[in-house]
Amino acid sequence: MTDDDDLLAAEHALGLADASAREASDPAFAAAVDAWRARLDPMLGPERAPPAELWERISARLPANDTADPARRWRVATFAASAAAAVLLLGLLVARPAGEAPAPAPQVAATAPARMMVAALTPKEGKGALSITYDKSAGRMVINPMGMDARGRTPELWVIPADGRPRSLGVVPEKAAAAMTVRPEHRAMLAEGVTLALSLEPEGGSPTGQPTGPVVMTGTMSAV
Amino acid sequence: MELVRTVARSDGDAARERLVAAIAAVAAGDRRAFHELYQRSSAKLYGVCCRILGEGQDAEDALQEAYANVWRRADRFDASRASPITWLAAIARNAAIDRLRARGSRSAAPIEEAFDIADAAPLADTLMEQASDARRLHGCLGELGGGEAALIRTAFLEGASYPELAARAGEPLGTIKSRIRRALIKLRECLCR
Repeated sequence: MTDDDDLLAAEHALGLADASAREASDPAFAAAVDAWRARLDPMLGPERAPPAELWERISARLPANDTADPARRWRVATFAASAAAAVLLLGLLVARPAGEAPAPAPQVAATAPARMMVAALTPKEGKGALSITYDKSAGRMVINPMGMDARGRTPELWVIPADGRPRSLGVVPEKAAAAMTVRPEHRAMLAEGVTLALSLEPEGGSPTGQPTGPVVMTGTMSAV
Repeated sequence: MELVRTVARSDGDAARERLVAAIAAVAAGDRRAFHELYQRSSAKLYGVCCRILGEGQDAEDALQEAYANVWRRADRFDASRASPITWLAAIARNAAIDRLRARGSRSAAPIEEAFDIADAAPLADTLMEQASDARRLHGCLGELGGGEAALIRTAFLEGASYPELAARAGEPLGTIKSRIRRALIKLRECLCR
């Protein structure tokens, strides 16, 4: 960080220069901007409690989650809490009577445990869940929706590997359990800790190959 | 004394951690976390809006705009690069400056006069702040001399650009730029002492 860079950081903090692009891409520069903002901060005045009713206005104006920037929704998927999801999945698997299990489930369950992966997809808000069991050796996935409401749209399941670009695993039924074979090019992505997400798409699934509708559930793959 | 400072430091760290966690949850679309973030930061952000716009409807509208932006941009916050409160305050400042510009009533008064007005009200506030860094900044701005400090305040609190500062000071653009840069260097030296 040269002296000129630090002065540019100061000018950016003061609003005299727009170095937003550099701030976003250069961590040392961003830290310099932050240092200047902290130095100048006392000029911004003392704290003052806003009128009590302002919170109502602010929260009422929040956009619904599904109108947010689509790129953002995918970045947020990485925040999904996997531990809670895994606990929930265990609860669901235990609670579900054997008689209701989908036909493919016993075959999957009969394979060696080391090859099995599970995920429980849960919504950020509201009800419903999607339990997923994946047999790595066979590339076979069993999907079990519980209390899901697709709001007249088609649920589509995605895996979001480390590069952050969602890959479609296919559309899934809203009510019934289903089994499907994962395409070979997607199998390596289904590793421990990878994020799965469910979006709501037009009939027949996303027309673009990328999610176009709201992400209603997310979860993380775990080995069992 | 050392103990007091240590306790204060860890309180500050804990507050920072809570803000960072709340912003991360807001990035994931968590409305409850957004409410918590509002409760923990709205007095700071409303203070910023009031400093720039004066207390009232404009400051309230700017605060609303600021939190709408916090909701939209929470995923861009990087705790390894910025402190949460300065990041939030910068969003509030930008929202307030935008509103000031939209209001179009920004004074075109000569800067010395603007400096007097901007500085009269905050005196009482400054006493209330009690924070050593606030006293230090005001002390260092004072060392710059009124003209230079006023340029910095006018840019920061009124969103004036270099050309606007030049026009209002009646000086060439190049002169204003070098005056401000020299002032920033002096300010940095003074604050780092």
